Amino acid sequence: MSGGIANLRMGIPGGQGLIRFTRHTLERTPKLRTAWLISANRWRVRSRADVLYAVAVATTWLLAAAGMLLAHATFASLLGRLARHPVLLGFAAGFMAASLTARRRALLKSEAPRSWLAAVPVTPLVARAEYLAVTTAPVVGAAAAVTLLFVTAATVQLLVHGAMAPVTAAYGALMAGLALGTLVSYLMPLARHEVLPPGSRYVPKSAARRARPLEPSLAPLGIWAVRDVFASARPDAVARATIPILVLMPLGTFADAAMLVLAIAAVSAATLMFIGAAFTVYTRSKTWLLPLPVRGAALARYVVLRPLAAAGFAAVTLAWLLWVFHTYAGKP
Amino acid sequence: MSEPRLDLVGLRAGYGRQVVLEDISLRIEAGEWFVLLGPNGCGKSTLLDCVVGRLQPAAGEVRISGHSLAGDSSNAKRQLGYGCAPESLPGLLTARQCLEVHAGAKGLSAVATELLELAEDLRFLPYLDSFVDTLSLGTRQKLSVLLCLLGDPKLIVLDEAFNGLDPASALVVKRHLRTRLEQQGAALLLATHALDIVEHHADRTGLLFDGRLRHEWSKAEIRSLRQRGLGLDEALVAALAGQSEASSR
Repeated sequence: MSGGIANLRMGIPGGQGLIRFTRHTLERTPKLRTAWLISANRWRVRSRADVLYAVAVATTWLLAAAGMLLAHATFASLLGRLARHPVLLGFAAGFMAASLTARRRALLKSEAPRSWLAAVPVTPLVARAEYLAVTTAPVVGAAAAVTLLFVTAATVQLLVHGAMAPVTAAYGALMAGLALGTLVSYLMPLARHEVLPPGSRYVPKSAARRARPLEPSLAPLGIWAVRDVFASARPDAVARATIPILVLMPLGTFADAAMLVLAIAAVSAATLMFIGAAFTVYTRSKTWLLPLPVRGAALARYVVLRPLAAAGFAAVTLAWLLWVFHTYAGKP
Repeated sequence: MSEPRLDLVGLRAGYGRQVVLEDISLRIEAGEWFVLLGPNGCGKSTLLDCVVGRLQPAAGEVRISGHSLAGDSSNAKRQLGYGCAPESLPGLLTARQCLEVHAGAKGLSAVATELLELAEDLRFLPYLDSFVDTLSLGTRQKLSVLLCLLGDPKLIVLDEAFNGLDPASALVVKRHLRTRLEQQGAALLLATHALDIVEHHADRTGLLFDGRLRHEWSKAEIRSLRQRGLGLDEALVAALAGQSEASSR
C-alpha cells in the first residue's frame, strides 16, 4: 500500500476518554458524523460569514447582559411578571418546541428517500438514536440559548439583588414547556408530505397556447421573480405563520383586530418577498445569460420592473391597512 | 484567409490562488469539430467557461471570429452559442420562455424555422409549455442544445451535451451539428468523455491534462489508430500515462 493511500484510511484521529467515546459514537452514526464533519470543515475554513455570525451572537449576548445590568430594576419587575405567569410561559415555550420538532420531523421524512445516506446500513437502535438527536436538535439549541440567557440573568440578579427566585421560576416554566412541547410533538402524527413541483396550482402559469409562435423577448424574466415568490409561499408555510396570531385570539385579541394583523403581516411579507425575489432572480439570470450579448441595465429593467411593481402595489395596500389599523386602535 | 472561429492565446485561469489552466493556445477554424478530452477535474469546463466569458482569465486572450472577448465582448458573444449545464437552467420558466429570453437577448426578431424543425426532430415540442423543473435530464439537455443553437452562432460550445440524451436524439443532434459546420461554416468545441464522438465525428481532438493541452490527434491519426487495431481508449490511457510520468519526473 502506498503512503498516500495509507494516509487515507478511514477513521477519526485519536483521543482518550470522552473524545474516544465521541469518536466511537460518531463512527457508528453516519448522520451525526456527517453533521460533525460539516461543522468541523466550517470551523477549519472559518468563512467571513461564520466569523461575522459568531461576532453577532457574542455582541447580542454582551448587549443583553449590559441591558440587564443597567436597567436591573425594570428587568427584575419583568422577571417577576414572567414568574407570575408560569402556565403562559410554559405554553409559549411548548408551542415553539412542538412546532420546531414537528418541522424537523416533517423535513426528515420528506428528505429521507433522497438522502445520500439512505442506503447506508445502520442498526434500528442507531437509526432511532440518530432520529431523536436530529429532530430534537433545534429544541436543544433553543434550550441552550435560553439557559445562557437565564444564567446571565441569574448572575445579574444575584449580584444586584442577592436573590434569584423569579429567574429560577421563569426558567423552570420555560424548560418544562420545551420538554412537554417536544414530547407532545412526538405523540402527534405527521401530516402527509405533499410534493408540489413548479407548475402546481400554487405557482401562477398562463394557460398554454400551443399555436402561439415564439416571440423573442426578455419579458419572461419578470415572471420568473413573481413565480419565485409564489413557489416559496406554500400554503402550509402561510398557515403555520398565522397560527401564533390565531392562538393569541383567546387571550384577548378580537377577531377583527386579528384579521387586520394577519393582513398586515401577509402584505409586509409579500412586499419583502417581491423585493428579495427581484434581486435574487437578477443575480441568477445574470449568471445564466452571461455568455449572451445582453447588457446588465436591460436585464435589470426586465427582471426588476414587474416584481417591484407588485411590491409597490403591496406597499400601498400595507399603508392602507396600517391606516385602518390606526383608526381602529384609536376607537374605544 | 478568414479569422479562426476560436483563437486562444496563452490562456491562464484558475480560482483564487489555484491555477487550473496554464498557457493554453488553441485555434479552431470554420467547419471544424474539435473535441476536448481529459480526465475528471483536469479543467475542461474551466476552459469552456473562459471561452464563453463566465470566467475571467488571469492572462491570455480569447478571440471569437476575430472579436476579443475582453475588448469587444458584445460582438464576440453575438458569434457564440453555449449549451449550459441542464441543472443551471431556470426551473421556474417554461421551455418556451427560456427560448424567448435567449432569442431576445441575442436580438433576434424570430426563431429560425431550422431550429423549430430540430426541436420537432428531437420530439421536444410537447414540452414547450412545461416548467423546466418538471423536465427530465434528457429533455433539459435538448433545451440546452436548442438554446445554444439559437441565432446561428459561428462558434458552438458544448459541455457534455450528449449526457442523458437517448441514442436517437443524440444522433439527430450530431447530424444537425455536422450540417451546421459544413453549410454555415460554424465551428464546434465540445468537451466530452464519449470516445465514439471522437472516432466518428471529431476533426481534431485535444487532450487536456494538468492544466495544459498535452496532445492532439487529427482525424487521420485517429483513423490510423483504428486501422492498426488500437482502440482510442487505449491510446488515451497511454497518452495520459506518458504525461503522468513526464510530469512526475
